[in-house]
Amino acid sequence: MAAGTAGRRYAQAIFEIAKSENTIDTWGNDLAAIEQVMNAPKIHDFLENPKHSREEKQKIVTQFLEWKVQPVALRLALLLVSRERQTYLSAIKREFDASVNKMRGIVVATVTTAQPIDAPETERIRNQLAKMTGKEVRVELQVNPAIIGGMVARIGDTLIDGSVATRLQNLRKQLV
Amino acid sequence: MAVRADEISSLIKNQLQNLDTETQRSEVGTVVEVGDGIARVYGLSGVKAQELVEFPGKGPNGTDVAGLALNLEEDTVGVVIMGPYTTIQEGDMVRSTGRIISVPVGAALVGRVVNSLGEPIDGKGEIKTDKRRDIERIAPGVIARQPVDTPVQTGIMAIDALFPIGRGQRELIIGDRQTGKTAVAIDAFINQKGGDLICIYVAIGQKQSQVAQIVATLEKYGAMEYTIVVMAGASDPAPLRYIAPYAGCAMAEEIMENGITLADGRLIKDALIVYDDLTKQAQAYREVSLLLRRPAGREAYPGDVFYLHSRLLERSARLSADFGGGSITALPIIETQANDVSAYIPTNVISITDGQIYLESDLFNAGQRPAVNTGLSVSRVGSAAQTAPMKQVAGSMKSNLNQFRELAAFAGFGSDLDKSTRAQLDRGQRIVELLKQRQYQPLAVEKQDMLIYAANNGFLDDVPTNKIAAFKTTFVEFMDTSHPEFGQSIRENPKKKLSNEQLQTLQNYIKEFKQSRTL
Repeated sequence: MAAGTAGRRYAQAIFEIAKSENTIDTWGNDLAAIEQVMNAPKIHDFLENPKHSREEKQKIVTQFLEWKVQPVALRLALLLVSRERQTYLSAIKREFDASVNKMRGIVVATVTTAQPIDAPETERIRNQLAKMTGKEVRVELQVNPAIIGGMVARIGDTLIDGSVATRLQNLRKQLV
Repeated sequence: MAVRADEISSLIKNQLQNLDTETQRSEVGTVVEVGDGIARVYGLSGVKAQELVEFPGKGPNGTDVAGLALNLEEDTVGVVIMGPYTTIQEGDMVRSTGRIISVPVGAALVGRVVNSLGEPIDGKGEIKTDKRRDIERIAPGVIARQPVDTPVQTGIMAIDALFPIGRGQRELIIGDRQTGKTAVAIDAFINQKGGDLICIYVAIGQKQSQVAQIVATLEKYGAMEYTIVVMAGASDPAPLRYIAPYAGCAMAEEIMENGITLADGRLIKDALIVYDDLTKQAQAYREVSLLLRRPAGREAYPGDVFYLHSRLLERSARLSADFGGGSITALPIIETQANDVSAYIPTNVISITDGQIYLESDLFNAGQRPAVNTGLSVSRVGSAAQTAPMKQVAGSMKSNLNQFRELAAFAGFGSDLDKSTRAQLDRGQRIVELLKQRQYQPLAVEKQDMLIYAANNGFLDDVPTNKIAAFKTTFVEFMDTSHPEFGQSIRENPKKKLSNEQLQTLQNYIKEFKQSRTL
């Protein structure tokens, strides 16, 4: 995972700038904007094409981003382009978000259920997970009928599996 | 085994009713790369080195495939897959288990053939034991041990007389291919019949057919009754070949520490374990290490290949009485290329073990079988691990043999020899001849004592060299049929030297035998 390692270095640098200048939220939006622009198919192809010179590429990026993001963020985009590291952008964003969440004591939980659940139930799950982790939990919902019933929550590398599918599997292991 | 149908259904009912209460909490990760039996897994941040991980539902019929977390890196974990890996894909989930690999241990394993994970592969049904042991463990310390003083009788005269092996010792068997390394181990197993040792044979990287043949031989000679075979064949994945010796050692540790009770009610606390062979295990470990991209060292082995063997062989021990007094005796086997004992793995294992039995293809081809090179072999425990009568009769044998070899080299020049030199040469030839022994015919220690006494004291000097083998078999038969009580008295007093009267009686018996038979 070279992208992860390099991404983490960039993200850390950005995070430190953002923290000292108190622009964490702005940076979050800027990174999203840069990612959106650079991943647009035509721009992506242009940036990846070795025929175009570095200067041309930087010009394009500047044109698209100049008024959308703060100047430091634009310099990040240009730096990535000049080093041909624009593909690491999503890794940088991911790592940056992780750092922000860590600082604010937020964890993201992916909750998978067999059927869509309503807001009060989501809130109940959220509170329960918050109690378990001792942190603020941001819940992302997923629906996967394959788990049959129950719920699977994933927080970071921890998986809390209360799905009917897994329980049936365990039952099968015990019986067979 | 009558299980009533209503019992089963009540069991199922019970489990179904209790089903709702449990949720599983585990560390998970995602496969980012898989190939050559190695998976690179993103996540699994809480996993520990050597921990067992699972690929849920990736095995045949939806079973889980096991893996071993070996490389813990910043983002990813290098996992070796111990099973079929063709079904595992990028993006699959990996679950940690929080435990390291363990194998079933205990009396239920005796007489069985199992793989590195302790699963039966002999078609004799399930292994019914709820006792398990981790395959990796730190060896017993200084306090828990006592010096080696009790012999393991291999039944091979060239070994028992010259290079005795004691309980708790590690004696390396080293030699080229086809020099009878495995035969030494198998003969040692067969000789334990009716004895107080459990044998464990760990086959690493061998052909399935060869192992089947060994098992058949052990069965034929009734040795499977007290033997466990652990097999990681040539077609098994490298990680299974790598862990097989540790799995066998865990089974032996159970015997050493807790003992196991055999069908006839005897509690056995001594184990004899053969690792056949550690060269293949080192190669399997090299394979795994290179695939995990660990830096390669000499002969492309990883840096910790010494530790691979030292931590295994250190687990052989003779426990002190306070710790139960059990033992593990290890006979590791190493295969050399063209008699080169200075290659990497042979030198490592030679330096770890308490001596080596060096088998040579030249001797083997010259008909000297077992092809033990008496000059290069050594047992560092020495005569402490011999019975008193054996020590008495065989004490000077090794130096005599070495003198004979020197003389024989000189005599080869064809110069005229004086009478005493001639006599010494003749004696030496007869002793060499006496040490020849056919496969699967281990000799009880008291018979060895008598034969060695006869040879050392000139009773074989008038027997032609080509009749020594016949003398050996017929004399053993004669002592068994005509004077069985004599052998028994030696056997039952292993700590007592032979008295002068006993020696006199033995001389008389030998004379009696020589008069009664013409060879």
